[in-house]
Amino acid sequence: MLTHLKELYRYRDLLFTLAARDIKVRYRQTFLGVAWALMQPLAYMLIFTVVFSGFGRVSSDGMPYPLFSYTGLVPWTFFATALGLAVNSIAANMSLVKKIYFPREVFPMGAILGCFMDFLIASVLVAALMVIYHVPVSVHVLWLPWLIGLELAFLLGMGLLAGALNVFFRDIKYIVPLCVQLGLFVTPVIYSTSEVPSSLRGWYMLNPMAVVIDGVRRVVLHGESPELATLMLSTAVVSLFVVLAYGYFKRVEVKFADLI
Amino acid sequence: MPDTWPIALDHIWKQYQLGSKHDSLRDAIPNLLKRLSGRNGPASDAGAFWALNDVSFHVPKGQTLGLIGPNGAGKSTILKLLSRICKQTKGTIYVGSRLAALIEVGAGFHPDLTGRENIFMNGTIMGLSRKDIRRLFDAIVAFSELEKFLDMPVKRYSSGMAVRLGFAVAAHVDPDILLIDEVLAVGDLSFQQKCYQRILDLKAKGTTMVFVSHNLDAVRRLCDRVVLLHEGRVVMDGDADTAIAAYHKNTFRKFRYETVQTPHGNEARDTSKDAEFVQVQVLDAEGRPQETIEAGQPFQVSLTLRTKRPIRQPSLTVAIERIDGQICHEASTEEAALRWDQWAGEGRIILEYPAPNLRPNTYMISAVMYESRNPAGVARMLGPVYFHITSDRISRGMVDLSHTWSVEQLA
Repeated sequence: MLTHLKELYRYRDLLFTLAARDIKVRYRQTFLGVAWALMQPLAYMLIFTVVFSGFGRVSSDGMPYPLFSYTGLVPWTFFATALGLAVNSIAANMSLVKKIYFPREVFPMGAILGCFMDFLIASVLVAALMVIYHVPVSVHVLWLPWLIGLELAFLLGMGLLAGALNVFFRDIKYIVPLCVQLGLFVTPVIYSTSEVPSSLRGWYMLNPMAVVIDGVRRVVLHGESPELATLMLSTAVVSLFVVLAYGYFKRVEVKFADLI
Repeated sequence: MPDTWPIALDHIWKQYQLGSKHDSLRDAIPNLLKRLSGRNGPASDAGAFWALNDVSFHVPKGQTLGLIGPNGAGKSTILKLLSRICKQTKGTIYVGSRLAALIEVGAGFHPDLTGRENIFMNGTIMGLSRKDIRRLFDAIVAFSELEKFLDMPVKRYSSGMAVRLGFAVAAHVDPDILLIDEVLAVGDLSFQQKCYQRILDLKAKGTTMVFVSHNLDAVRRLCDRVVLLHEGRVVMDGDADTAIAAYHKNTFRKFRYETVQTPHGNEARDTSKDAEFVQVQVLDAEGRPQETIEAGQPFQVSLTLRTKRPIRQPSLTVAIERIDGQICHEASTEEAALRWDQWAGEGRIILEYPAPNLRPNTYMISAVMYESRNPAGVARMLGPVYFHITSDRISRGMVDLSHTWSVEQLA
């Protein structure tokens, strides 16, 4: 494992170059350019606001619904987009995989990193909305790096596992987006965690994205700390998952070039 | 040991699956269930093929090793194993550090990025840091001669420009071990010259190299030692001239091409036709069937034809094509003003070459019989007949043109 990490460190510039390539290619020759990073969460925010706050009433824990939903949508959109790209990242770069050696994990990692910039841009609008709705900032936002780190780790584990499996079984690239779409309903994006029946709450919080989004809303909107026990447990589980997924990835990566 | 052998292959075997074993879950799940239930799945060896069979060789530091052999001999497989793209099935490989592989120039290019951006992209793929690339940037650009096109997306480059950029990056990686696969075949002549010079510079600096090419002249110029491969086995391991001569001479006799149905000629028939070639053979001056003719020696092509009905005003065209598809020669009875009213039953035509001047290579003979003015042809060979021209002397080019040299005193 240590030798793998050392080698990955040697190729760190490739990782950043790949991420930069993804960003450049995505927005080159587009009229709005990087502003597209805002479009997806904003569009969802508007629809959710009309449907769930206009037509039917969904509790937003006393927050203005646009701010409430947008705060959940930013990490969720990042998760959905990055995972979708990471899953297909190795199969999509097969011409490179067959011709040149380098640690293959740079592909899913680069895909995630490339989306991370979109995530940061979209996050700026959260701050703007907080100013508009007069929501005060508290010292608890210092929890954010941990929460974002948890999301990145979960994404990395999923990206490595699904990206490798997708080389062997192309079904994965259809299964994963389906699961992500369904996942929206077991993650507190549209609604608040407080609406989950307490009998199901333990199960509900097994979803690391539920922990992340619930945590983000608490520290950003409500000025309180995340649920510590849940966060600790989730962090431990996700860490173990990343190690196992990386181990699996490195074990099968030598077969990639033979299989395409 | 590792100090003396930057590259060491010991008893390497590499197996490939023919066709995909499982590309979708629909195939994989039943296989998994079968395995779990203890029943054997389909014999896994059925679709397997050994690309390398017990290949061993060591390369000392600073040596340039050439790998030659016909297509499918395993040359590229060895490069892929050395560069860690693939993994061997059996055996051990040692490869020293700081390796660069030029397996395909510009493999990492992204068409939407500019030349400048692609230099960074490709360089980091080859294992350089961004800092290294910034340091080498000017040299890379100068080598590629693409100063004016740096900010143009690579998708608008001509293929020659893309190759120049790719080689320029790769040539500046400055590795301890360099693997090169057939890349010099591209680009114009002056750029090829530049690439050779760069490779010779690296060689002079003590870089260990493995060079794969079909261009035997380049192999001879660059390599200290050559390994000749055939069907995944090492046939010969020696100095360049010996190995290349062996490739030219012996190997042509040994290597059998599948399209030749019988050792000396093509006897496959198509009975539905009005006429057919019963046998096509290459004969030596004494009329004995041969597969190999010494360069410059006379030979004949014998064509036996059988017709089911009389063919009116028949004519015959015979072509000699080099193995790479270049048509070297065509002869037709019409051109020779050889005319018959009709052809009935079986007969043999001999086409004689008293002083052929084809250079050593593998050639294919194909023939067509026509009826009067019908361009469709009434009989065609089912497959070409192969023969080899060999020589102890190594020479390039297609034909020997008779020539003389003369020198004039200038001062």
